Amino acid sequence: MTKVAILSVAHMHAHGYCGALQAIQGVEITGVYDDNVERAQTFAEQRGINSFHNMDELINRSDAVIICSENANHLSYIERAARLGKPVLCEKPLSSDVESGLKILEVVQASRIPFYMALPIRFVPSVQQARMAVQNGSIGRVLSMCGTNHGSVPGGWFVEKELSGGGAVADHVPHVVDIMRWILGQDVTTVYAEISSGDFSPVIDDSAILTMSWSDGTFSTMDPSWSRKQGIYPEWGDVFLEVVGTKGVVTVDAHAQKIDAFTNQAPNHRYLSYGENADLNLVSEFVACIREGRKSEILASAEDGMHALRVAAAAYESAKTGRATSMMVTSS
Amino acid sequence: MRVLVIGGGTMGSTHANAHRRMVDVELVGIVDPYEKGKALASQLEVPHFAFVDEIDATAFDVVDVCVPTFLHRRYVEWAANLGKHVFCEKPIALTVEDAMAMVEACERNGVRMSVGHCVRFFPEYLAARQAILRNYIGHVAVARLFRGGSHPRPTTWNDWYASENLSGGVMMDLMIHDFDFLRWVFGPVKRVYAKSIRGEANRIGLALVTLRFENGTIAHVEGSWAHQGFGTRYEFAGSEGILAHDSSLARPLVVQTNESQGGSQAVHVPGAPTSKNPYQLELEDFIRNLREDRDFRVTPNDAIEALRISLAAIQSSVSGQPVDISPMPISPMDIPPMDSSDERRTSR
Repeated sequence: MTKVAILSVAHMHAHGYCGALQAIQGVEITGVYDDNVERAQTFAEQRGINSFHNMDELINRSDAVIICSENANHLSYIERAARLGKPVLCEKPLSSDVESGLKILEVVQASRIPFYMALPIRFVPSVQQARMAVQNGSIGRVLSMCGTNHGSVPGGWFVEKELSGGGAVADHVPHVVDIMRWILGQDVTTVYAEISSGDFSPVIDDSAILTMSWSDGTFSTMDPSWSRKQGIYPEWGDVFLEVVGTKGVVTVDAHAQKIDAFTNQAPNHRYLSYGENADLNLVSEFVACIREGRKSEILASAEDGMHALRVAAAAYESAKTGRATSMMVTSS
Repeated sequence: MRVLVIGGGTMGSTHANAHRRMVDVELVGIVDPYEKGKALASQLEVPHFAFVDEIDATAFDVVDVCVPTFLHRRYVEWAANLGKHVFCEKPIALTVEDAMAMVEACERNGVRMSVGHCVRFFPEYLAARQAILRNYIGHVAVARLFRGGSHPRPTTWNDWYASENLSGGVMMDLMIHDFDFLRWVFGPVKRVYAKSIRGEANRIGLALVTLRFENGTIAHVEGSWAHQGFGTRYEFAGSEGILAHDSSLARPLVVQTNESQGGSQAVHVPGAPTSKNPYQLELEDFIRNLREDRDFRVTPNDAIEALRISLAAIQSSVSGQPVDISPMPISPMDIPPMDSSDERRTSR
């Protein structure tokens, strides 16, 4: 029996990860803890699991933990898990700012706990196949990439800068940057960003277009905007990626597998997904690594998370200064 | 109205055929020194001239310039100096200096000019603009446009598209369509940031251009000569809704021949032969507004502003930094200096 605890359910993805844990054979959810006691209890009731008031006790009873707290609180939960020597799967982004992100890296490296980022796009089959197609040379040398990860305004702590670190840029840039980096095998060197607020969220950044230069001369753009208003668009968001090479083009629509549903409930036109459950694939890999005592070849690492965090920070810096910003600026 | 078409290549052929279909317009000749031009004239049963000095100036009223971009200035100035109104293909010219000279030549001679920014006549773009101006989707936060296909074939004259000196490359020749359209919808552009692939051995051109408009809208424009087939797409994400279109999904007519009959693939028929194509619509706009002495849908200033966006994109793609642009008055005497930037960034 592999015992996994959930630390904080501030992020709604906790539901997806919990559902995945419940679907995997030989996994027991020891329980859920949250600084927000009521939130933990509600979640526990909804999912039919135990809620704990004592975090250390919960962690000690478990083989591993999944952290779904507000971005700014990742550090404190990670510190607790690290102190007790338990492997961690952490929701993205790594943290709410570069400084605390670097502290997380220190804690993880010093404690040597297995640590992975919950970046499920790496577990979408079409994305994995796109990576293989690119890396085996079917489109030649990569010249440019163009990606989107649209979404809707999440509300709550996501739009409170002290807890989230930022809006759409902080929320979605990590996903697309991670996938591009995973496919290309290079690092971002420069970021230019046009960022706006006020169309979907009054108080925090809600739309942007980022342009990135990569260490091998490739360039890319990405669109992390929270531009899909609830109740209007058929789905919450999307993940698209186009990779142009010297010999061809690869295009991925990570959510292409869906059916159209027309009903009289808003949104009247909705997409129902029949694609594979990437959360399940991700959590299964995490659990397998715990069981088998091995390192994952697929799951994103803390360093991967840190790189993505620095890209988001560089984007905010670029928007402030009006210049393309070197990643060197965000390294300390 | 008697029209003389200069240039018998792809656009010359499209325009000439449009003129032939138009009522109250007479196509009086095609000027082109090459076989292709001769064949076009013969096919349309109109006189052919190898060079402009072979035709009598009294034989035409209006000139339609369809030669490669680097030759636009020469023929527009020639037409203006003869006192002829002129329609010029896009981009208006390769440089603002050339474009201003062309405008000045027209003004000096009291003739009028319009420029072939034909996307303003494509119905799917008109529909989007109309919806946006009617506030259908609120304030547009992010616009995404794609225009692309494979590199124009080497069979074009001297393979001129492949030379950036002659065509301006993908940011000028192809993407200027979307720059002009976006400006028509959202107003003046504030700054431009661009990255591009140029000069690849495999005839690939691609650029990813980001525009920030004075009204706050951000546009991501992708222009490609690296894809197969040709298509256009757009998405406008506004505070109150989204508009989207993909040309590959809009296929009103498909004709399919069974394999047993020797057919292999369905052929999508792009437009019913009797309906007016956008090239005809833009020429009708030109002729009608000449006759009625009214504004063209596309003015020379529009064409120059679109060119400035393309030039700023090219500059940004080389410098790696954004380029600020602001509207320019038409008079060449009154050009403000191009600042690299001072007044900066609110989020809008």
